[in-house]
Amino acid sequence: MNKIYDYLIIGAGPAGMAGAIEASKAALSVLVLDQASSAGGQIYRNLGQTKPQQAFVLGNDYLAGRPLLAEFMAANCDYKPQAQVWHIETHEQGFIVSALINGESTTYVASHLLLAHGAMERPMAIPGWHKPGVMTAGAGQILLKSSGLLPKEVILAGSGPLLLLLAQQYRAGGVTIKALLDTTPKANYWRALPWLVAGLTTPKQLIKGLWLTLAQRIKVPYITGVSDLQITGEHSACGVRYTVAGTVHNIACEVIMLHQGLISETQMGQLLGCSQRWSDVKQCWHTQVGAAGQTSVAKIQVAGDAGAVGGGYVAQLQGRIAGLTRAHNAGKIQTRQSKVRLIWLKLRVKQLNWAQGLVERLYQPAKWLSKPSGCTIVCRCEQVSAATITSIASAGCAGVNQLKGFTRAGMGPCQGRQCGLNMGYLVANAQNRPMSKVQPLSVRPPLSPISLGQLAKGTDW
Amino acid sequence: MGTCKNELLVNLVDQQLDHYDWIIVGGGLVGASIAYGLIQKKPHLRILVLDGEDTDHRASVGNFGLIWVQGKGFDFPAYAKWSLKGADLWPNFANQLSQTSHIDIAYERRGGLEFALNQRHLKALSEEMAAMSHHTQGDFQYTVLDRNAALDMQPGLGESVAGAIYSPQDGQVNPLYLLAALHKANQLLGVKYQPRCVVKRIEVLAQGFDADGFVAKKIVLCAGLDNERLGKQLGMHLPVNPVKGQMLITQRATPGTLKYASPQMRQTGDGTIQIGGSHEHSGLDDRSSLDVMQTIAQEAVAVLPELAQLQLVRSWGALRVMSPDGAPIYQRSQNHKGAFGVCCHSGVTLAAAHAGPLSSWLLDDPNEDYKLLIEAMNNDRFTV
Amino acid sequence: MTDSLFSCLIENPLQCTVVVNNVEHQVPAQLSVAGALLYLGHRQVRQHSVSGEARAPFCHMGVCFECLVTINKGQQQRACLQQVMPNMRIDTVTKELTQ
Repeated sequence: MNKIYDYLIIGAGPAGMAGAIEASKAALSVLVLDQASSAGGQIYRNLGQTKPQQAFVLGNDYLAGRPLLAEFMAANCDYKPQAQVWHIETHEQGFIVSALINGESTTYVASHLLLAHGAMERPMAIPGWHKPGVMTAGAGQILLKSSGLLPKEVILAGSGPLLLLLAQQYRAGGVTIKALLDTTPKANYWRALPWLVAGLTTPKQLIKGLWLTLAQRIKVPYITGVSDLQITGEHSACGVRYTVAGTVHNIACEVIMLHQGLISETQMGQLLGCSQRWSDVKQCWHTQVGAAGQTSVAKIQVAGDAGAVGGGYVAQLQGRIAGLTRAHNAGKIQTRQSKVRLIWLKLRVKQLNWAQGLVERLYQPAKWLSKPSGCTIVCRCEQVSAATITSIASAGCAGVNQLKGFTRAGMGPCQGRQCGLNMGYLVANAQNRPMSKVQPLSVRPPLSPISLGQLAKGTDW
Repeated sequence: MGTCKNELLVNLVDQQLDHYDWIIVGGGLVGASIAYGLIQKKPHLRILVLDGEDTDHRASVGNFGLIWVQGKGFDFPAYAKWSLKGADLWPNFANQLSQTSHIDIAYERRGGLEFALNQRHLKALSEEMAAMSHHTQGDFQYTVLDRNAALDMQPGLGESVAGAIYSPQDGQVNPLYLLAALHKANQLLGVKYQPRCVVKRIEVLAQGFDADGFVAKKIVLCAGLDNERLGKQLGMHLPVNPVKGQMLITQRATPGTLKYASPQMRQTGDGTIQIGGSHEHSGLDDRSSLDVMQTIAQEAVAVLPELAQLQLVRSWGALRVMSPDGAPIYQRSQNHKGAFGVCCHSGVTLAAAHAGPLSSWLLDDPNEDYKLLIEAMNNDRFTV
Repeated sequence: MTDSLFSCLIENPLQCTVVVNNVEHQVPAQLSVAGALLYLGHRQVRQHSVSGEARAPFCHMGVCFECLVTINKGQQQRACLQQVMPNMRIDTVTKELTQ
């Protein structure tokens, strides 16, 4: 029988690291499993090994993660990098977490779980998005952080703060940005205007954001009001075609990076049966999470972008709240000081989430981007087009899960991560139903790939 | 739970009470095959299929995809004959369905192998086959293969494989495409389909039935595990229980990795390898579990070691709709004329039989041989 | 393989030898496998098993499964999740299904 951990944390980004720090300080036995080779999550990826040239290009917000990373590395907890969690199930003993480490399936047992595995980029299904040469802006940033790689020239397209930040970093690194094509609908500015009040509660962030936006508009070929975006080129990307004010334009470039915001990854929460909720503002599904990170399933907490996208700082605070709450509930800390701290942390998160409302409204994805059509590939793994999905949805299928069976969309190795949301949009659209009523794709193990041989070998627990 | 308040309902109330000739409760393989059979035989019939929620337990989407005769009904002669007839009707059924729906359902009948992992297992299987052959007066054909003969048919078998049973009468199909094809064909032939409509209450009217506001002269319950509940409302005893089956699906493998279909594993038309399946009594819990997934993987690798390097893409758990003896129940309500119950876990093997002779039986279009077989499978066998 | 669309901004990086499709190459040691393939000018890393079209790394964070390659004989590994190691054998897939 394995050791039973008091707290098993999945993900070593800001939320997971902070949760581990707080819980281990309270003498709980903590295990952190993370898929990356070093701690930091996507935001502080590779921070511990970063080279001076990378640091210069990535900027101060990236380096600001150093104290947290140092605190985590010093914390008294078990930490397994390069651990790919492929299955979790509930058991009388608690939770059985199976992860692939060095090619072997290893099983851990814990009484409580904290899911802090973060977010992913919203899939942007435009014609040709599956061709070589097209990647996401997040991918561009990861290449910069982990590998120090920069494209020689690039087109950035879509909407959202990450796209602007990447433009800033690429400029600092001397990359030729052939164009930044902004798909943010003009109406968003008006919709977001009342939320400026919320943004004003975090003036530093607001000024930084404004500066970031303005700087790109001045320093790179910045084109607003972009629609009908598509990738040109037969076998690989040669450029983009897009429309502004009724006029079609073409730009040639072999590297194109797309982005339209982040969405929570819900697969682990879904697998464990945590209630999911559709958010109209965020335009995504997310696990229902309370102020202390609690979900609808006892002993499972969620913190950070895994619950709702709020950025690195909020994630860190949520991680601390989750860890402290776990310690409180275990009776490991009872001091008044820590109770006051917990209340303060929750208030701060509330305020920051409110301020986040401005960004959420400003960068809500354009409606036309949630309606892929014709031969645009929706399911990249099984090569299923929007037209196929729409025709079956229009004939009146029960929902995305039936659609999956009929078309194979969502059956590939990505387990519907790249197509599930767009399948939902197409079903909602064809059947005139609200997204909140179109159940998401069901989730089954493996959450990440494992071979039959590795599964057969397994480990006893 | 789904609500059935929709346009169709408004039409019903506005027009006439007697709107449909048949309501099929359940849009899985059983319900869709019966609807397909009815509309083909009587194209003028007004048929409505009521289907459940997208995330309901659906045995049809967890099906393994075998058209399997080996061993079916070795202890129940009527079921043995019925399975064999069903499999024999499949080639025509598949042909016609593909033509109507324009969907390739990947049907093939090249025979099937069941692998035995030790001599005792091989002996037990041989005895079952002999009984089946006896029940079908020799119509069921099979060969008992020793290890070398099995290796000739499927190279690469693991050392623990003692032999296999081969029957040329077994076949396979993509069960998901089969369901899609039935739905599409039904739609083209004029069957109405109403998804997300979990029937709560069926009222018996003077001349027909009212299922949550949908009215028809006749009704067939094909609601899987829900048949027991709905059957009671129509005075029918339809005892069914969930038996969980877990299976694994791998990445696409080289075509021809598996030469024949088998209940342990089969290679789909898409190239993936489906591996199954467990038999678990765990109520309505259809989740995948580590220990069972591991056991299935171990058995698969024992049968064919080269599978070890394939990546697992998906695991699946589905609930079989099982009667106490595992055979189908075809029931006519004694109290309410025009109400029927069909409970069956072999929705694929028997799809052609359901679209063919069973729908004739529902239409009171007697073919004495089939009538005897079908009525031998009513629920009288559970009342002692 | 063609001219790379990417360059490495780290000056005089530590080098690491990898074997890509049986050819030895020196790459900066901090690269991910996917990064190394891009750096070496591989514009595609596999052919799609359904359409046969060329595919390349897309998300670089393990969610899209576009960068599946063979690493040290292990099939279908996500190239974006592993760092290059000395003498690592990387094989891109030019045909997933051997007909």
